Parts: sequence; structure tokens; C-alpha cells
Amino acid sequence: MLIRQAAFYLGRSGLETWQAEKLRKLCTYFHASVSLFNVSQCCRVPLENSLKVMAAGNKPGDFCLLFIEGMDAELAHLVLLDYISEHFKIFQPEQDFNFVQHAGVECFFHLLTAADFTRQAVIDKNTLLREIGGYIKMSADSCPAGELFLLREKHAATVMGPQVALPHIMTELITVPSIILASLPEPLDWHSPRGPVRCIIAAALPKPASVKMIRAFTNLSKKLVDENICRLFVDAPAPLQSAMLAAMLSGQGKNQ
Amino acid sequence: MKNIVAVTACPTGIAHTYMAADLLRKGAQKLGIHIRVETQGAMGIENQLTPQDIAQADLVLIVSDIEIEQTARFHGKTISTASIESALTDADQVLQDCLPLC
Repeated sequence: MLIRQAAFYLGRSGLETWQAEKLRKLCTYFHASVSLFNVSQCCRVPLENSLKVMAAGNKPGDFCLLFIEGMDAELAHLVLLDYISEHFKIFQPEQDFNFVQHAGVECFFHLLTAADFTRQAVIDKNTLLREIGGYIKMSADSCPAGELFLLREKHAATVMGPQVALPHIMTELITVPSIILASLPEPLDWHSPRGPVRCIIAAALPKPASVKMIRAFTNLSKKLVDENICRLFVDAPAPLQSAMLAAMLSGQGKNQ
Repeated sequence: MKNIVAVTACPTGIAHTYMAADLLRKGAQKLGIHIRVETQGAMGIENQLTPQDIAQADLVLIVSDIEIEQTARFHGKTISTASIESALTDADQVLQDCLPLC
């Protein structure tokens, strides 16, 4: 089965009825099944059902993924991409991606890809959290952030959906809100009955955090309990993961 | 069908509170229990239980590692408590442990 994807941002008007109808019509020319996954709203709907597409709660600027599956997925991808590029903004990973701008929260963002870990010997949860903690900006006389992450994990492991962990701390010692996204080449034991993880989204927030910041992180955690979004997130390449993460932080979510 | 109202809360209130709530909802659906879950996270109280929800419930389940808000409204109800970790580890078991109390 051939699978093609396209990532794009909705425009200022979101996704209008006539656009949903046009996309539905384009889908009918192909055997491939096409679905729209609105990452910002955490909602996946078949594109051939324009009513469901309209009910997905699409909003201006939402980050969306199009999934095209079938023997003629390549051709369908070409045609749909042509339409999408005309009406919406295609996500281009090679262009500079501004995480803060898309996430809507002022924070330090750092990405650790699988390539950063292949050079290293076998890593474990504690080593990784200490390494991640090294990127967090703390007040001078405090203990390292890695130790605070470990303390929090002792309380309860932070595996959210399948293969995604959200270690998080909120303390007065943090001077700059930070998000470190780490993608591992192999699943790592997170000492949780919910299984090992491949993606770690480490969040460090100052205390007290602004309402905007707390809202963004609760948006994120509510979405990460969704199994479908976690599977997509884990399998996505690093630039797409960054964009998905920003969308999950900024989007309120249809059912939230 | 047993009717449970639950409250989840954790110290940071940005992840475990919502994870536990989600797992309780999924577990309840599996076990054929009607459940309404209120979250008391960093955003404050969400999906707040109404007086009617509480009155109609067979049991109040508090899944929390901290003191929860507004406990007086549960006066006179059967209350069961559990830690966040127990709900994250096995929410079905937490719910099953409640059933004899309903």
C-alpha cells in the first residue's frame, strides 16, 4: 500500500465549506483513501466526507496533515498538493521554522535528533534526563534540572501515549521556560508499565508560570494521551515533529 | 450500571492529572461503569462536577497526590482514594477496587 503525506497550515479563513467540498470532489477521482488530520485540533476525518471535515473544528492557522493511502496515492498526492498549495501554506521543512512563533509561547526550544544519540554508548533514562537537564537554564545556585526531572519521575513515570514521554518540572529555579524534544533511534525503558519511549518532550517551566504558558502545556498533555497522535508523532521526521509539537501547544483542541 | 464521580489532581498539574483522567474514563468504559471526571490541574478546575452529578453518584473517587479543592461538597458520600501512580499503572484495578464500595 502506497502512503503519501502532505503537511500544511490553514489560511486566515480556516477551511471553508467550498474548499472542503472541492477537496472531496478531487478525492473522488482516485481510489486512494484520503484523510485530514488536524494536529492543532487533534482530529482526524476522512476527506471524502465534507460534513465531517467541516465538523472537525478547523481554525485559521491550524497545522494539518493529509494522509493518502492506496495504489494511486502518488497521483492523488500530486493533484491534492497542487490544490492545497494554491489555497493554503505548505509546510516546508527545509525553510527556517520558528518554533516560538508557531507555538505561541515564549520559550527556549532545542531539538535532539536520533543522530545526536548514535555516537553515544547505550543510554538509560537517568543519563538522558541529566543530558536534557543540561539545556535548561536555571538560577546559578540551584541543583541541575536533570536531578529535578529524576525526582519528578520517581513520583510517577511520565509516559503519555504510546512511546512518548513528557517529563516536566515547574519550579522557581527555572529562569527560562524550555522545551527539549529528543527523538531516540531505539525505544528506551522509561520504567513505566505504559512501555518504552522513543520521543521525549521535556518541559521546564518557571513558577509561577503565566496562564498562557500553563494553557499551552495542558493543551499539549491533553493531546498526548491520544494514541493516534502519539503514533504519528513518533514516526514523523524531526522537522515535522517540531511543527506538530508547536501546533499541539498552540491549539486548544476540539474536545478540550 | 454503577455511577462514579472522580477528581484527579497532581502537584504540577500539567500532565498526570489529565493522563489519570483519561485512563479512568477508558477503564470505566471497559468495565461498564458510568463515570464523570473532574480535573484539578494547573488550569484550575475543569469539567467541574455538578451538585446533581455528586448526588446521583454511588461513589466519589479521588485520585490525587495532593489535597484537592472543594471537598465539602462530597460530605455524606462514600469516598474512595487512590494515588495518581496507581491510576497510571492500572486504572482498571483502581476502578475495580471501588466497586464493592458502591
